[in-house]
Amino acid sequence: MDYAPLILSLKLAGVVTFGLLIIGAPLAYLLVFLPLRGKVFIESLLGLPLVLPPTVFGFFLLILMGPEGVVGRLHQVATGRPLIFTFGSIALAAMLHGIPYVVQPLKSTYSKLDPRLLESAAVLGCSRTSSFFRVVLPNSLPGIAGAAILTFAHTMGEFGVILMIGGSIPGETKVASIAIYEFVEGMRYAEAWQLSLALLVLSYVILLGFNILERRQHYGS
Amino acid sequence: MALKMRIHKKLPHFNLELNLHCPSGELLTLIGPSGSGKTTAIRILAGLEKPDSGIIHLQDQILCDFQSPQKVWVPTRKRRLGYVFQEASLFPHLRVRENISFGCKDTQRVEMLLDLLDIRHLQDQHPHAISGGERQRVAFAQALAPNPKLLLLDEPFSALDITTRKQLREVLLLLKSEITIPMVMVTHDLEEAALLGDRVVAIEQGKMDTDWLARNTAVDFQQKSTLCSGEKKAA
Repeated sequence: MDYAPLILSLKLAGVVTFGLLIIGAPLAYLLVFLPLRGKVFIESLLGLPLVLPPTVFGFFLLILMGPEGVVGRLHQVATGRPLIFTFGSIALAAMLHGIPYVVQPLKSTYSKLDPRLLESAAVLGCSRTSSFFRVVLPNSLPGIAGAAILTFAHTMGEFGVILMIGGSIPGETKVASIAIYEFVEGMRYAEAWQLSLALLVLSYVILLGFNILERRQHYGS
Repeated sequence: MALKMRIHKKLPHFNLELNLHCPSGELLTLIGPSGSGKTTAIRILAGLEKPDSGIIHLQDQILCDFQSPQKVWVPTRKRRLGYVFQEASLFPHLRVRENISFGCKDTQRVEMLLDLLDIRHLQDQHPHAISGGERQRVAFAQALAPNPKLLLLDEPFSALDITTRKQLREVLLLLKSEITIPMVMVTHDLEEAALLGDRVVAIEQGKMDTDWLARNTAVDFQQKSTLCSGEKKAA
């Protein structure tokens, strides 16, 4: 049994979760606390991956990241190599597709914070940036952990977008879900069973962790 | 060295129009029924809300001047204020000592406040592990730690039981004797206003109401002062 696709899925989920937390935590903060004009347009845009079919989302990314796309051309100029069909391309695509899975729970977590904490921080001389690091983040750790688990689990099962952007290159873009699809296509059910079971158990353990965390958070408050 | 405030703000049901003056070392009490605009007034002083027009001077600094063409507005974080909220808004992830030193790097001052407010024994506790009265003492220490130029108190005792409230009134009277900055307290409790305030200003429907006290004072302020052992300067 070749576990390389599963290991690649784990690697992809780790990279995407880390990257999305770095981007999503301040993004959610801006959306919740900053009086931005046209916030509703930004929020709707960020929520698109939840409603668009992954193939449609992947198609647009393919246009952007392909050899003729803006991002693809910039990457080609900077590195001398095409962007699509690489691990970097599927990581970027999975991050863009996973944005709502980290931003929505974080927005919900931040919204529950007592607004007086931020007012108190401002009175004590904190800037918005300083308040984010000194007050918002430390008081949102369970919510951040929840968002991380959700993003990790979602990326483990990512299929359509990765197939559009990365194809199926062993060791580079052939993640577990694509490997399973190929096993089934080739009538190799035993291998499909093994990999599917491994993914099932792993996903169950991740979701179990998320639910335990959520219960603790609920009863803790 | 004083606070001067002349502001106007349109609120949903009335206009808030205030003209206040508070010398250093004096505690000005704003009293009025719920929804009279007193908390909005103190939040404007803190910079947490903006007036529609007006001027706020604190000592030699202009905190707000919407009458000049430049439209001066100093943000909250640059005003050097102490603010005690109705219910202590301590940072739950920090211990008592860390809460006090949040806005102050002067460890000697933190030590002094731990002793002055008699909370040294709580310094390693988290806010959720101490009582409401203790939390409010810590909130006073936190507000005073950055050596503020103005102390604002937004109904600081209203969420406490009677015994704790009396104890904390004593604490405030003690602090008053030590503090040489202007202090503004909002309350809807006549007894508290009379006991603690050097001057009491009544607000109703957003306007200063000179008759409000006379209409609402059932008991003479002097009689009430016996409820607290602290010295009341004036009512």
